[in-house]
Amino acid sequence: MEILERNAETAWKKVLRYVLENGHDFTDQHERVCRESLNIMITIKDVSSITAPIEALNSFKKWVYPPLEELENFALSKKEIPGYYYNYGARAFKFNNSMNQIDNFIIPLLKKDSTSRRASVIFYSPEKDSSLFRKDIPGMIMMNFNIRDGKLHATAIVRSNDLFFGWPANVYQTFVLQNYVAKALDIELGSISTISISAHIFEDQFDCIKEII
Amino acid sequence: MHETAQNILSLFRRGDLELSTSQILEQINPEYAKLQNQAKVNPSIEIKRQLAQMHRKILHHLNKMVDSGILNIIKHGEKGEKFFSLNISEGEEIIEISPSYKKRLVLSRSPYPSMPIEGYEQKGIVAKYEPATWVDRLNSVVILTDKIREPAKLYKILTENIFPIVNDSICLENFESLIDSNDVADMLEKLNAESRDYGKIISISIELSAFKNKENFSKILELLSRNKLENLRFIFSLEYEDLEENFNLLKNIIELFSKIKLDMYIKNKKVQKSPYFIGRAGPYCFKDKEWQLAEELRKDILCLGCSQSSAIVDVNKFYSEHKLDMGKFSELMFNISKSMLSANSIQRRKSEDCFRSVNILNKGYEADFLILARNYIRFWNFGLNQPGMNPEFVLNMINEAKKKIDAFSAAEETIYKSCGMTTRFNLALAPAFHTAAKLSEAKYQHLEIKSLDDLHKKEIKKKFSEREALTKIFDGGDEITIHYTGIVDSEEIIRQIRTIISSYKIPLFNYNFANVKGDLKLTSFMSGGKT
Repeated sequence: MEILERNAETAWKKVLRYVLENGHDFTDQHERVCRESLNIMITIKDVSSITAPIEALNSFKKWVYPPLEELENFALSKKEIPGYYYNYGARAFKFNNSMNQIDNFIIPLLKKDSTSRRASVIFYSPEKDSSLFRKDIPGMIMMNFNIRDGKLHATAIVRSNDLFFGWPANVYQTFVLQNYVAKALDIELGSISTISISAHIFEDQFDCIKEII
Repeated sequence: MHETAQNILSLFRRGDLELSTSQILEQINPEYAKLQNQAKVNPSIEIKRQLAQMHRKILHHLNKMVDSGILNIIKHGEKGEKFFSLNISEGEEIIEISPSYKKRLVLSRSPYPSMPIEGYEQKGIVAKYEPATWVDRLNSVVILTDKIREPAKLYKILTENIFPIVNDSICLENFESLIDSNDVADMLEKLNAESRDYGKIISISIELSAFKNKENFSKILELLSRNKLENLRFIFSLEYEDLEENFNLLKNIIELFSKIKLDMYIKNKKVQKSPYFIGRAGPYCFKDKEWQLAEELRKDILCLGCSQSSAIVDVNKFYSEHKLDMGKFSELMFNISKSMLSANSIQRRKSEDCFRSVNILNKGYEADFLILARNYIRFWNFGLNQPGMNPEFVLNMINEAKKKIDAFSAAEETIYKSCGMTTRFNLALAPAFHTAAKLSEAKYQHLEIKSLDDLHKKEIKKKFSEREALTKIFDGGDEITIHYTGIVDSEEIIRQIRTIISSYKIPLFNYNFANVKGDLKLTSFMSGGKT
């Protein structure tokens, strides 16, 4: 399934409707009824209103959504942050306590060869995460950057994606890293694509999802 | 400065962090809102023209303020609408003398967003514990003392690494492991002086049965007899069997503590295995079940955060304002929970600065430092043991609030997890001490005990049972202070301790000897000090 939309909010509403109408139900390990569609790709052409889904979630008074500053910090902090089990920033900028994938690889690579298809950042660490006992591992497992038509396009692969609460944050975190790389390359922002391997919503969210779409 | 610009600035001064052009117009021009309502009923070209004109006018002022560096355009909304924020950093100020009004305008950005407890704070119903460091410091930290072999090293770690990040209490767990060291008494004396200067409470948790060198402990008792170490709290962890095996030692401890009128804390380790300690704000603890994780991490870490932020609720003031309205009480709890979530979020963002000194101690395991930490909602004057209050109603009200808080915490943990940001958000309930903040006058009755017979009185038994029930709700810790008013008989007190720990599931109780009778000679316990 592929969804191609101009902005984040319309893409989000479309994918929520799609899974609500076409997903398959199962009960997960936390006893929550999960409606899932496998392998959904969503592309947003214009990233200028990337926070619109987050603003829509904030309009509900039932919960408090992580603030944008926190989502940014999670993606950009180069160190482990006490309070989180992991953070994308530390994985991107100090993978396994050593490799700075962004500053020491992606940016120099794309400066050297703007057509490169090798600009991949890995968040998933098999050494740490491929453990039967570890429960909290990154949802977003990798991100890829491509320069085409003078713009920087970003693609994120998310292994497990709660489309209602998670996707708005994931797409914003992708934007934050895309913006970081684009600034370093002095290049315009292009599209953002997400590939959600398990794209799902939960039964307890259905009423709110119907309100959103 | 133009009046419109001043009005715009006053909106940001109220604490709004970002505002759209329409939001600014709505708040400074009442005509705009009226026209908008009219446009909904009758969307005529004339009304639309007037609205557009208002937008242009306000944008003229806003753009000028952006050009002069006072405001920032932070984003564009869906229809291209501009959003503005103050272009100043935390703590910076804009100061201007208005030529027309001779008015001094001072504008500063608060380092923190507004929180939904501020209204309650103004009424004195809620107080942040240590508001100046509410976010930047933790309330309490536990040190795994058995991993530090030298008292001097412990002292250095405490004063250099831990003091800067704590605003209340530090627990030295398994302190008995250090008692064999010769210079431990000197270290405690120095530590007390530093704690007094820096406003910290140190809980010294001692496992009575694990004592190897009782000689050395008598040096500490000697020190206590010379100097009242007022910032140290001694917590003796024991169970029924330990009372017999350490009878003489405990007898000496009681005699000394009652003589110098120092509070003696007893932790019932049958009820609570993990750290349970005391601060200025109130008691602190971990959940026994969760502490297993700390045991697994023990080889890799030196210290663990226990409490992140605390809010104190003066429940008596709440009663005066809202009576016994359970709905309003739950609303208050919800607002405190939201504020705590916001505080934790800021703390995580600032953690590199806030926790630098402690990250060094848990190198490679920095992220685990807050793995068991909770936020505290503490109640003061909540009505138990208060004449005229129905204890059952009080317990029920707190219990209902607890269920709602737990549901909110679980939902937020799920949202964060969905965002890929797995974090812990947990709220604990506990009582507050009168030293926690400026609070109303204590309404509750003291629990006074003169002799063992008192413990068998119906009225005292009822009080203990009520407190036992409350301990289940106060998952952040509870403490009973027994005001001992009789003539000190240490053997009699040991019998009382035996009765309490075998009859009630009370994790921590404290003997307060402020009003004891008699004149026990200091020499009488010192001479019997060797066991």
